[in-house]
Amino acid sequence: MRAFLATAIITFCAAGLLQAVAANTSPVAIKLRSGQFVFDPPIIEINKGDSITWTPTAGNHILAPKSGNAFTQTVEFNKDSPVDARTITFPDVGDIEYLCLKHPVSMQGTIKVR
Amino acid sequence: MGHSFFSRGLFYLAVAGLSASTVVLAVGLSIGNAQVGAPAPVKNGLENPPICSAKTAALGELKGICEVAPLGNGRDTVKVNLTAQTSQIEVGGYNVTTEHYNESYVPPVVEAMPGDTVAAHLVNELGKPIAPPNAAHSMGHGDPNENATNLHYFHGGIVTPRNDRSEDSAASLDAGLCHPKDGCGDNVYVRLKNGKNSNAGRADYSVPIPGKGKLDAGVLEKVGYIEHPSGLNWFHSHQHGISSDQVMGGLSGLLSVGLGDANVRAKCKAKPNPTEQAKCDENTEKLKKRTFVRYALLRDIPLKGISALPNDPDGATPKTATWEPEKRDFLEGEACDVYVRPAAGAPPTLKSDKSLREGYCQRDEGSAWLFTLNGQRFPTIKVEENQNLVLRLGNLSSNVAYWLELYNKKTGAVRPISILSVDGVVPGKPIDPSDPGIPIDAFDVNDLLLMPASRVEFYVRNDSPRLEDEVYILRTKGLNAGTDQWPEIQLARIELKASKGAEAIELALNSLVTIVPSALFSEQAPAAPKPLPKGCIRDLRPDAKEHRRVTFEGSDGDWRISTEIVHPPKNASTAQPAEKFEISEDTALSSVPFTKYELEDGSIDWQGTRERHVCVELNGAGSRKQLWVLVNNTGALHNFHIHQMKFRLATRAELVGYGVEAPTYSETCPDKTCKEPSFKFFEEGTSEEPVWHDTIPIPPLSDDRPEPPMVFVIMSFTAEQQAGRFVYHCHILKHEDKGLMAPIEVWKP
Repeated sequence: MRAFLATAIITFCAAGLLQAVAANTSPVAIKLRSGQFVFDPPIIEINKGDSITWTPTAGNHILAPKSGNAFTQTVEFNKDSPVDARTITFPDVGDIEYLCLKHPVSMQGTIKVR
Repeated sequence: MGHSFFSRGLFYLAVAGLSASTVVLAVGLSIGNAQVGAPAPVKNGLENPPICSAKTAALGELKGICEVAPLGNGRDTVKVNLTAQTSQIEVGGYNVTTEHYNESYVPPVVEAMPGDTVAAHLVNELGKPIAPPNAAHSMGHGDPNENATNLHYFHGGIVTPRNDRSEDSAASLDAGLCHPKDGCGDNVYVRLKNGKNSNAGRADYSVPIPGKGKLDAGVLEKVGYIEHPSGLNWFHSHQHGISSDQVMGGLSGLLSVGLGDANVRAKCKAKPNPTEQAKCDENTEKLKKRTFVRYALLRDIPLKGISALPNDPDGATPKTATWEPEKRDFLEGEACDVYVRPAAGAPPTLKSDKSLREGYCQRDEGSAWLFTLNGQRFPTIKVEENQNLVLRLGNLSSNVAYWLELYNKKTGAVRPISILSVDGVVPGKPIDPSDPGIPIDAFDVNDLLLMPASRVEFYVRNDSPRLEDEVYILRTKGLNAGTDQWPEIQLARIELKASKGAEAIELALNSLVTIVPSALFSEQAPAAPKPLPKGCIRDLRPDAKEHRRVTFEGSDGDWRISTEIVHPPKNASTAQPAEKFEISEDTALSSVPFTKYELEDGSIDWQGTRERHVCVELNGAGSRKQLWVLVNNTGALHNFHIHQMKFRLATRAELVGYGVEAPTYSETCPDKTCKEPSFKFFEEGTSEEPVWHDTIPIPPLSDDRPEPPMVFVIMSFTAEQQAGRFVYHCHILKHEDKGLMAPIEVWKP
């Protein structure tokens, strides 16, 4: 019985632990809204170690943080290097403001890493 | 038979397809007792603007405004005096305070011949800007209350800006001033502050229009020399940051090279003998005698605080309203209605019927957006029996694109529009006098997209037999421009009176004739190479199959242009898609707003201390038939324009020559059944009968069009008059004001 309980507790804890550290990926769409490109949602909150995947519906874009180097890779969309989506993981807590270098006014967003 | 445009999709903006030609199948035999002149008075008849020409000046008209003096070579200087001012004028039945010339919403049409010099004395007496201070004003330099202005004199001209580096006062030209001896050419870098007693607020422009044999035909891809094309052009304020407001208020006017009927021409036999030629000339004269000309400035203006509804009966004095220049957008979901009173004095009720939008619509009871021809709302043009009409229509709107159509009010049937010229040039290449291809048939389109700044000359015939009167409505069908959703508006009525018919005379295009001087073929020693001027990015290298890529980027309020020279990817053995091309080293200008080129004093950074600029060597190795790929990486419709230039769509074969794989489709809507104009990317046919443009639309990205659209155009820098400093930009002026413009320099080696 004790062995069973111990096993159950260990399994439960392991599952909980796994649940706690499992990385999630949140989507951010790049949409045209009344002729302007926007991030949808413009502000997104994620947990430390989670990722964000950007998916454009149209256009060429280069995403970059306004400051710092929180993006571990270039997030670029163009027909020359066709990809449907780009994903970046954010290991550090903090707020990251970012934009599209091609549409810097309408495409501004914030990632809140908690 | 002459060449025909009908067999191919010539007009990139034609949507519903090309129809039969303008040939008149007149059965009636009466040789028109071609009574031509002013039509009989008609209610709200479209009035011609005043005309400043040698003829009107000789008659003593427009004293103090129009001055004509002989140049001494048989040609004239035609000068117009323009005072930019802020005052109350009448626009479309309302007394409104706007920014305009000479106390009028409609300034004179300057009408001059090739070989003449057009001149202007511009005085800036504008008051403070009417639009509330906004970011646009901060983009220009200096105190916004200076309300600076200038003149693009003239849009559509292959004429000198008189500001190239070899001019003899480089320092003052660098500073954006006029040439001290000869005055300003078509120099948009001049900036005149306001002030009644300020010399800084005055400028004299003097712009020679190349006469016979004075313009290198290479600009229209022929060997030899031509005169400047005859056609409809215009002049306007080009003051960066506030040009949208100034042009909207009225700081613009039309300019015709050649007489109003210059491009009316009868069709001749190919290679006519002298007798046939004489008959043909006689027919041209007959056709001109039964033709009357109307100049029409297509403009729009938003008003608020209207004292009475547009369709309330007119009183003894015009209604009053307040101009709303900051209203530059027409966004999705915005109302475009009409309010009517069921009875005199009764409260108005809202009507959404589009057919009631006769020259205006309203977003609420207290406002109205007027869409006018010569400042008139929904005027009538009456075409009498056996008369024909040349309507010379310029879209002088700051921002609105008009998708035009002429439909029968009774039956709804669309009447084809017969085109004589586009953007001031008769389509086709200049011809040799012995060219077996002459004449080229005029051509018809069922509708056309007239982008801001674009002009068209079209012919409406009424000299064939008709038992009953017919009424046609000129309307814009409305247009989804990405950000803006321009509405459908009824613009004008055209009444064709019943007609017995006149002698049948076919219409042809008035092609330019080339002169090929023998000296052209003499051996000339090559000029010693000169170093690239300071601040310049080098030109294209034809041996490397380079072309130029211009990308419009950004969004409302912050537009930018990327310009780069690109070459085929390494080891490419076949033509590659344009987006695969690689940027040539040290040629990229990435995402640059125009402000980046402006120095603190408002002059341009020609020395390249902050940003270099695009340069082309006049008649250099890469100067002919340059390929420019115009890319739209935004959700808004744009309108590419370059000064001192005519360009055309590239052909599929030419793209292959540049190593570019043409997109599958040459236009957005090949079957012409879409709810938008069919935007053309390139030409499927040959380059032998091109339509020349100085503006061209680049369609926006959309969810249905996810890859940035590309428009492929060809242009040549071969004429002496092109040397100097000018700009390329989006001719939707609210975009230009917010950065969508770049400098270019054509330098002489």
